[in-house]
Amino acid sequence: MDRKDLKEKLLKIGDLATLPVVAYNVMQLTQNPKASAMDVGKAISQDPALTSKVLKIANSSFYGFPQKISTINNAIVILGFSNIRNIVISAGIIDAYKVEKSSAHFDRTEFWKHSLACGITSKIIASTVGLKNSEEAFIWGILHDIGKIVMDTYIHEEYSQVVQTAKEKGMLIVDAEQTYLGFNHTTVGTLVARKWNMPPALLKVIRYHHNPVLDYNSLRISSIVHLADILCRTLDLGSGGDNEIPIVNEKSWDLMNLDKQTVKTIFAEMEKEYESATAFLH
Amino acid sequence: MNKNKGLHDKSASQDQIDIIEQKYARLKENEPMKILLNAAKEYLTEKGQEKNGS
Repeated sequence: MDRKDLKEKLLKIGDLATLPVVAYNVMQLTQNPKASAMDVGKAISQDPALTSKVLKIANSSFYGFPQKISTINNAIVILGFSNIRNIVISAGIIDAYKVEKSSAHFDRTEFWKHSLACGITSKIIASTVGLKNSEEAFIWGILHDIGKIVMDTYIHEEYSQVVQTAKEKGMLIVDAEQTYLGFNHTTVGTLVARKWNMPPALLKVIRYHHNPVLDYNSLRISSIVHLADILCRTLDLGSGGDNEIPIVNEKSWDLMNLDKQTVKTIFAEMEKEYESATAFLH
Repeated sequence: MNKNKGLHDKSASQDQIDIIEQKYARLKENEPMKILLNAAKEYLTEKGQEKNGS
């Protein structure tokens, strides 16, 4: 298959890649200022398996609520709209692109661990730099690499070869994708995220997390996930498909204004939260 | 790296520091990367010492 064929296949991915209906509906509702918590609760309850998963996560040590949360409406009241939206969309997408479909080269368990770690770390960095609504950053981190899992699903053989080559040659996977496919996961991710009607901030993160300076309007948002990715790779929390660490963009770093001690504190928080977040993956 | 080895004993921390140093050594060095590398080394060293009660 040559590059032209692959590009045609890429366009088809836009048609093939699906977001679970409930996750899609919840995404729409949470962007609608007229939607109530009850509307969201009803939407989630349409899917019993997802309802059960949301309650399991809501009751996990990651959220640390001392009493049992037994209904979705209860969960929305206690954890808030934003956290519930994050749980539903993350759990829905992780379930749709299951770990059982791992190939020899692209390990989906490690991929989702890396994504989860990036979600946690993005939230911690966002809070550290004083970003309003820092919980938003959790979903940015979890979904920033969504293009990889979509490619692994819809151009599986080609993508396995790219991942294998990246590992053998010590390349960043984004560079291997661009070199051998002619496009990369940021392009594919943006394509599907747009189709799934994801919020504008998330689209930017997916598009620019490897090159945040191109995100003229919201450099800070892309920089948070750019840095989170590097910190997760440094502590080896999961794997996005390669074994390398990208170079920190200096403009992003300056914007974050972090010193060594603050980074050490972030590392400690990352590991602590990561250990309590496994309910997202099981 | 053996991810099952855990992050909590001193030797595991030193193994992890060695791997991080190797990965960072392959990169073009800039000031933020130096800070990140030093932060990671100190964090892992202190964690290893804490775990060993030293």
